[in-house]
Amino acid sequence: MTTGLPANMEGRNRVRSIVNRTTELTPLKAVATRAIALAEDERSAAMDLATVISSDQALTAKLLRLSNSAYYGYARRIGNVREAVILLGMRTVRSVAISSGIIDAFSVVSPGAAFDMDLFWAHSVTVGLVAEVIARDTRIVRPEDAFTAGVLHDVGKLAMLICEPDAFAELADLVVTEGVRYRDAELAVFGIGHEHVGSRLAQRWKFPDLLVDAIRWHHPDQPPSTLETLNDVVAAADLACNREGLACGFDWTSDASRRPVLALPPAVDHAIARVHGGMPTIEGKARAFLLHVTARTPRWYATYADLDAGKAEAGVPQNPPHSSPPQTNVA
Amino acid sequence: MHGEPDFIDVLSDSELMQLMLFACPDGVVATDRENRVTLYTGASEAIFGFAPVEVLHRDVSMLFASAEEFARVYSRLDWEGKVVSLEVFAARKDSEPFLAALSAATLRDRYGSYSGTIAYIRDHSSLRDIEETLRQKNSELKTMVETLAHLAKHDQLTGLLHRGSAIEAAEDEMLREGLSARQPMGVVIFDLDHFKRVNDSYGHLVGDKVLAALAHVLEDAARSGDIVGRFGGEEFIAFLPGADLAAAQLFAERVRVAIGDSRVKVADAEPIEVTVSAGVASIPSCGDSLHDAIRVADDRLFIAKRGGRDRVVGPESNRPGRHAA
Repeated sequence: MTTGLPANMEGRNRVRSIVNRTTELTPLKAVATRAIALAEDERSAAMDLATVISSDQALTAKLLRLSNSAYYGYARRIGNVREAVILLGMRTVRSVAISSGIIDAFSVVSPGAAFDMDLFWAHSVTVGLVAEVIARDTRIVRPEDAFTAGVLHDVGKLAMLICEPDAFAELADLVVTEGVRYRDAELAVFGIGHEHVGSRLAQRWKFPDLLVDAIRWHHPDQPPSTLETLNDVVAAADLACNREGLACGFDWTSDASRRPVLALPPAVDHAIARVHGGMPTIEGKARAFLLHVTARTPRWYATYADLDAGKAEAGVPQNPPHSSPPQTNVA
Repeated sequence: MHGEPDFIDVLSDSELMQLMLFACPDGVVATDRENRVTLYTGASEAIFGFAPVEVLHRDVSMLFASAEEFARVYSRLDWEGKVVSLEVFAARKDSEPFLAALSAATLRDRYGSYSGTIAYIRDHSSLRDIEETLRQKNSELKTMVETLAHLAKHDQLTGLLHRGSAIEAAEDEMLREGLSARQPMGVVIFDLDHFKRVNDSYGHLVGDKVLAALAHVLEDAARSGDIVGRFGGEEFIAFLPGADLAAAQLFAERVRVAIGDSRVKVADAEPIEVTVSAGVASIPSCGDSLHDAIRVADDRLFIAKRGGRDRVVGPESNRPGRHAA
């Protein structure tokens, strides 16, 4: 199911033009493109992947940094890409290559004041990790696919931001000062949802249909009542993060009283509870991922504010003064 | 006339020369052309133990441990000419020969004919002792490190690898295999059933015996190249390079049956019957990494326990996609 386009012609054109602009503005590095294209079931795939990644020094350095950090918790020193592929697994290394390639591609644009890029990726990577945890526990889909889909589920928002900054500023204004739900605001301003843009972009990047679909359908009308597909896993992971206030920053989920109270399938909480330390551990891992992949300390949620004391504005999303309580944002 | 005496002045000053020879901490011995001792300093006396009157004008060979040692030094001197440095066994009065460092030169007159030798001697026996002690300590240390490394890697009770070292050994195996032709790797986790009950009713010594018995069965069942470890408590793990799910399941079943057949003997009591449950997984069918496969095996072990124990649980008893409630 990959007809990722809105029904009306105007919306379709807008999606197309945003996707076209985005691929011009933020070209993916060759190594990410090749990692996506890799046929993972072929016997030679693992070796190909190691060769492809080794050809990119920056990515190699990131991968080894991550491999040797507490993120994967390996006691031994992983000295090269080949060892990382053997010990962490080809799919894991591939998902790191793809995610970091895309985070990299978008790091060239400066988002402007309304949008906190760090918290955007903080949310995305946390969703990726929760999706991975759910997938690992339920074995519905491959954990690595769940991670990649989770990290990329909101990528359409970035595309809309960089291609139409003025419209996006309007959207952000609606959310921040009017308390409009993100989703309603984007429909009001753009006439299209970010999942349309994201899934088209993923198609353009030649992602497998499974991932394109997961991005397209991560905003179901109702929270998933059971977990059966990757779409359900990503949608549930997204909601589980928003429920904890681990959202994109300028929405209102940083305020606990405005977070959604949702009934998610019990398997979600079961999977999260099986992680030693639960959600805070996952959040810490997400932070470590970004730290090693971007080689700098990301701004973060209030959870880590005390850790970063001394560094100005420790990453607490700044809620502007506001009179009318906005609706809860579930975007 | 210059104020300061120069090198030539020193050499021509016989008193100064004497002083230099006698102040030298090494023994200095000189001979004439017949190899009779003509100079024997105080330091020499301290080294060899002979009084000057016992040595002077005697054949210098008396200062060597044997005629062969003497011959060895003089043939080197003959052969190499000027200065030679070597270790020799020297004689010591009323005592065992000792190791000495010797630096010697032949003296020749202006027509080039041999007119004697001069030699510097230093006692090296203590050095040799130190060297010997060091070597001994070194080998002791090496043994100790090996013992410690073994202790650190192995479980004392069962002699199997600990959890961490078993995983490391399995990783080594994967790294050795490389990327091109990846073989499957079977992972089986075993857990003794009702082990607490054994401990409670027979005591911990019997419990230990039961653990050792399972370890023994596991080692018997393992092929060479298989890695068997104690995973913690009454849990054991086996990594089976080259084994796919089916092969790993056969291995687990073999161990389960062998455990069921074995009886652990306890003094003045009936032999104890024990059973074991196992969860089976493999790379790549249950995941790409060892961690993933271990996790799957652990989940399946849990299912085996809940399903009534004394059984092996592999993939068909745990369909993917169904969440264990």
